Amino acid sequence: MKIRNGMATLLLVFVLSACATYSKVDTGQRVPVGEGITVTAVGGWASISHQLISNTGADAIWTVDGPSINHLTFYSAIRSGEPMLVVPNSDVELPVWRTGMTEPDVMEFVEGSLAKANKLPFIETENLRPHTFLGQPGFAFEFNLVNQKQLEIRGLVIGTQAGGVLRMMTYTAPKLHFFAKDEASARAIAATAQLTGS
Amino acid sequence: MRYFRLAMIPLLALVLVACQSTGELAQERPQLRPGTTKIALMPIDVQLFELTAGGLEEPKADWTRQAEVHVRRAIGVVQTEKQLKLVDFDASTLPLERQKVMDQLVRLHEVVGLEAFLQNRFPQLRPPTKQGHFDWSIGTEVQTIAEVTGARYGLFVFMKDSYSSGGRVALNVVVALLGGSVRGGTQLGYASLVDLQTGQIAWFGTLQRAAGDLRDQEPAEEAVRTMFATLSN
Amino acid sequence: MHFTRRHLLCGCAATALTGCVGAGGGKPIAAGYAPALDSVEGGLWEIFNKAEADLKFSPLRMTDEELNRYVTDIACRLAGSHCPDMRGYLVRTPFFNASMAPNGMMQVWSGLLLRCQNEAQLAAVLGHEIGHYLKRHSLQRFEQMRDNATIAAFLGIAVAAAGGGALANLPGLVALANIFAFSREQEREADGVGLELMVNAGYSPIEASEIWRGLIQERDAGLTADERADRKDKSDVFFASHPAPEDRAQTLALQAAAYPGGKRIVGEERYLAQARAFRDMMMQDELRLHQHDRTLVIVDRMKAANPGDADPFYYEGEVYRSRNEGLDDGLAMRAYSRAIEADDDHGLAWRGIGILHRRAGREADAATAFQRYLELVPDASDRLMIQSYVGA
Ligand SMILES: [Zn+2]
Repeated sequence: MKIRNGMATLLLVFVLSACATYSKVDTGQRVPVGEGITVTAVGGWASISHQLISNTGADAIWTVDGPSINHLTFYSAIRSGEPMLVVPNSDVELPVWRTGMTEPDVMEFVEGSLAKANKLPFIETENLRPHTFLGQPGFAFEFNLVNQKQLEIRGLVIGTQAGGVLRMMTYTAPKLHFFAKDEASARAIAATAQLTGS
Repeated sequence: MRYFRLAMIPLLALVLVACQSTGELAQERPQLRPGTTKIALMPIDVQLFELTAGGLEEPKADWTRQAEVHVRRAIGVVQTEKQLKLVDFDASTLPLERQKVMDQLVRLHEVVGLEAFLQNRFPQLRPPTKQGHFDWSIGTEVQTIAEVTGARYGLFVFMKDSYSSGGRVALNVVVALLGGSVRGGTQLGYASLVDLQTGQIAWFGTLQRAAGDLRDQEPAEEAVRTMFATLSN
Repeated sequence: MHFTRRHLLCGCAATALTGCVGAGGGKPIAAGYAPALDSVEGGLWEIFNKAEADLKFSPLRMTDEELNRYVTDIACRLAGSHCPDMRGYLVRTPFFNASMAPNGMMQVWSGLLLRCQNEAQLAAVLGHEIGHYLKRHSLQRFEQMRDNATIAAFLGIAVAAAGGGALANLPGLVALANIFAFSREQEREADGVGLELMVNAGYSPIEASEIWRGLIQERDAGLTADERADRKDKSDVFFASHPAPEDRAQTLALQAAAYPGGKRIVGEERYLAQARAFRDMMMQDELRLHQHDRTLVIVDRMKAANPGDADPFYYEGEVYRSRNEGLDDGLAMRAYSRAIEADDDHGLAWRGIGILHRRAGREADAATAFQRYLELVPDASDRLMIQSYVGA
């Protein structure tokens, strides 16, 4: 979602300079995805270059088919008073996460962040439930949104808040065909997530 | 803003790459029996613009109408040459909810087609996961098209053409900065032959160059022929 | 419809002189008119015909028959003989906006429906948009743009290359509509036409001014006097493309006063009755924007219009709970409690109370409230999570 705006320019720069845009993440390979989190890839994913995602708020973004189609996004350390996303060159005030929030609060925080940063005409969340993430009690929920091209997009969010930090993984893809295609792989990757040193 | 953003894609493509047309085949190649394999032609999307001074794209309805006629006729020529059996897809007999899904399919194809087009043209933009065989699908909702038309494949066609009206000083400055030059207009197109059982894009043809003119029958025919060059039965 | 007819005559004469071909931005349009395909206007229409085909099956379109009929009827009463030339679309998008394309495709966004307080206000907005159509403002604007194309395109390419400006962030629908952002002159003209149409259809013209006052209230909500003074609202879809609402409110009020008095339609009750079925959906969309001070203005209006209604208090609670600063938890608790006083079976208010107790570590109180919520809303979308809190 988020990456599309700022990304056009960067893609252009990369096309011109022929820099590496992606690195391959092989199945079974354990890789860091931000501050203190590693995951093991399940299925074939490509990690988008760090320079390209540096102003999105995410710590790692993976894709299967390409950045305009699907992503797995990792937010490894959102601290109290911080927003989830970054909107470059904008005075849009994004919702911030705070310690002490309940899971319904966090779900509304994610929903509001996506809606506001992307000026989404429509987003709705569903099925908030307890879910273990990083070996800690956490949450999971799904969302449906309509993007600026009026294409229906579906997303899965899995996360946990502990020790004054919110850590999350989101998986988004077009509702038709693409979401179901890599959903199992996304869930499996979430299940492998570990805090380093634990 | 939207005009400019749309304009940027073919423009950049043009500045950076000189090739004219390419084709991709899925591992499972299209099985076209001459004159018998039914193909549903989805509503073709043709847009013609005039580039006014500075590169503002001014929509041209009369050109677009002409081009639609020409492209349709050209597809007819390709149909004869390649002995294809085309039928039109008409969604209007479906219930509203299904029509909405068909509409989402067309939007999905537009996004998937553009991503495939960009990956096809710029190896840097192709993720390592897409290095092997051409492997794109838009899913099994396309089966509805088969149910309505009895076709084996669906054909999605997208073409966009713009022409200079001269005096585009500012545009040329920008393009020169990027190390290229644009004299005429630009032509961008992609077409997909979609397996209506699996949703797999069995064949994907692209067209993108500085020359060409959909406003006249002959060059339009040539453009469509070029885009379909790699489709064979 | 005296106004329209008079201008139509001029319009016909003008078109006849130029042989019914070519441009004519700003010149009135005749009922049943369609431009020649080889004209610039024909090109404009074609683009918006495509946009309209896009909108038809859009997932954002609100297709409820009754609501569509209600809005269409009002538009038709205003547009008179032009009614068949226009098509209205209700779009679920939580911003205050309506737009008119040159081909007669009119969009009304749900954020506007939420903010109108009565039928006359909705009629004022529709009349204004119809005014743009009747005066062919898009064509006029495009002709001006062509003249400035070198500069515009240069800037445009620079903006595109920089990853998009403010407009690039907006939904495609707005981008397309705002490409032809009307000039202040055109906006004033459309206001004038809108007022005339409103009065001819029997509506109270002062409501046109009221809707701008409402927007000013919202825009300035939560700001200090200094902030208000230099407020330049660039981020707002509507204010970005329209003249200062103070000027409009004032001009419209003056113009309204010039019309003879008498019994005129305001239509508060019937408007609120129509909007009621969609109010919760529209408010939830509004709450997602986290524009707390503005939302409170809407809530206050709702309280005033619906005394004894529990919902506005629940929405107030949601705003404070979401803002989550300083004393907000206390304010939220007070608002939820008033919702419960008005309606003890307000499940969502109980949910809010449960969340506040849980935040504060009052587990037992939280469990009681959550249990009540789950009883009242058995198919709640966060049921599993809430159950885990209750320990059930
Ligand atoms: Zn206006």
